[in-house]
Amino acid sequence: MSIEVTGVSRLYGAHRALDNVSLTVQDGELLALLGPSGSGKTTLLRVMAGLEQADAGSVNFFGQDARQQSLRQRNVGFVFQHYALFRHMTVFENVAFGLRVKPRRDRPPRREITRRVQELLGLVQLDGLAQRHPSQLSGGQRQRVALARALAIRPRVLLLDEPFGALDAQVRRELRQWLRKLHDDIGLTSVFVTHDQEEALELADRVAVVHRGRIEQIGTPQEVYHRPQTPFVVSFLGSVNLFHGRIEQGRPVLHDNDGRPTTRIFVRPHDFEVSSQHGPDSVPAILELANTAGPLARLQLRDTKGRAIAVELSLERFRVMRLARGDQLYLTPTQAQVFAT
Amino acid sequence: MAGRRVIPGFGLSLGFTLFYLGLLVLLPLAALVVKASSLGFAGFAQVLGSPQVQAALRVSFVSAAIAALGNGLFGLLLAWVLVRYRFIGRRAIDALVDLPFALPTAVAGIALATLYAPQGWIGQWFARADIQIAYTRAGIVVALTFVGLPFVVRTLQPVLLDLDAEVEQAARSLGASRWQTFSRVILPALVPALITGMTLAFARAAGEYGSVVFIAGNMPGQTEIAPLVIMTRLEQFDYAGATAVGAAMLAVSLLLLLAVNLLQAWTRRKLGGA
Repeated sequence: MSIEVTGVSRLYGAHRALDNVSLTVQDGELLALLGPSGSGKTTLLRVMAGLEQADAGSVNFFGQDARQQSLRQRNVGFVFQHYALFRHMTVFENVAFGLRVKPRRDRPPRREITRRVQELLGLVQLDGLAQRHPSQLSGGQRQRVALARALAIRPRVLLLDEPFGALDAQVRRELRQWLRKLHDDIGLTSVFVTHDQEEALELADRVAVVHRGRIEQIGTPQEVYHRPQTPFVVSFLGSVNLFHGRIEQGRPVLHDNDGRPTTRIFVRPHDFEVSSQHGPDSVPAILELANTAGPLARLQLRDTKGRAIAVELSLERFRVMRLARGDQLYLTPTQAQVFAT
Repeated sequence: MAGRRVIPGFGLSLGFTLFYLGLLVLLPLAALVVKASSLGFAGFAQVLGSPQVQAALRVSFVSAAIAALGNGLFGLLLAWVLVRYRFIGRRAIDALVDLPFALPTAVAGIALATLYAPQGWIGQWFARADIQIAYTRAGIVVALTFVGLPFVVRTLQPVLLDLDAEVEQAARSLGASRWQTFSRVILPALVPALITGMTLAFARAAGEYGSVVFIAGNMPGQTEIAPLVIMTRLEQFDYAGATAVGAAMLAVSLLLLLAVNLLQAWTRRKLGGA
């Protein structure tokens, strides 16, 4: 256990940024804190780093109470969302900073510093840019300088705040894969914050879904995606349709025409069986829009009560069915997440 | 110039800029040089060679330099406090900083002279330690510090506001002490603005007349500033002599400003600019 957060709360005035949060970061894992903006995920990361103090609860760092440790003793590598590079220093000096400010007795000799910085720049694929200034680098390069700088102090944990937030989609995807590989190579316990569910699911060993200052669920990407424990987790991890219905003989019934609705049923767009024939428990709906520019046909339908339903079909099936606007279709969920109202 | 600009008329605006600068700045300066040159080289050398003029030039520039250094130190502190902390009366203090700009310099000079005179509120405490401030070079430095303060504070404030708090946190998380964070991260970011502010304060102080004459004592060779020498010569209808001293001040100022600009360019290169 690298970091153990127990019952941590953090208040900003009357706003509860963190509400009794407990979390354990396993040794060597890559953990994602996933949540919408304002959910408290960055605050949690900053409390772990010691950049912010908890109002209640404790943070345990490798078996030691973190409150008794200075930032230097904690030895955390922190990568800031906007990199926070030292603008007046070269790339080399940025990376060397953490080594140069060490107390004299711990400070490596000059030659060792040079060697280690070169090694790190090689690791983040920035050899040859050592004498540049941050203003002369692209966003992705700056991000990697920030990473190398954080790694230079040989941290026990690496914490990253929205590491890819400020990059464009292409660079983002590349850097994401690169970071995963780097993590596998050096095996450093890492925690990163993101609001992008795709990023969290693709990159992390475990995902903690944060909402309103609490952790809604924590588990592997497969667990949180396929076995969400709260309505929020379902709706945050990808688009979803919400129905009010009930369960009959173990099967979800999506309409609430007869009888009182007793459950909330969430169905993902690709978890529908689409048919032009009426079936048992199917929902009738009219096709309004079809977008076929992509790997799937994305349909927008409207049910008899005027509610929009999003459905995804394979392009092949879409063509075979010869669907057109205004068609009457019947939807049957093949898979659903059910929560009591 | 082919690309479309938001504001049109490069030719027109450049022409106007040159005309305006020429009319307001270059023409009077040229007149100064022309008038001074009417003395001829020998006359020029004679005016500048006089011990009184040399002493006055030295007093002006040295005092201005000391005042600028002092303003650099305390202006930085003041700007820091005004930007970084929230306290009651902050806005009032912020407004006070501009007062040396607004106050007629003569008023400031008389006020300072009264305060720092041996019987004055502040001067009497120094007088007990046998230190005299008013009517000495120390008094000149006090007055020049007063007029130069806003330049440093006002040039530093926006830069300090712009400093990213995360950069400091980054330094701290990398293990830097408070002092290391300040000296290695914050101060280098401020140096260009600090140099600019101190240069402005220096330039203003070197030519300052109104506030200084009241507190300086004006002893020739001791506490007489160069602008006063110019005034005195004007009153004696020695226009050429006055302009000669003026031209000398102009030359020294230009050289110093040039040196500062080179220093500025050098630090910008070294610190990576942005």
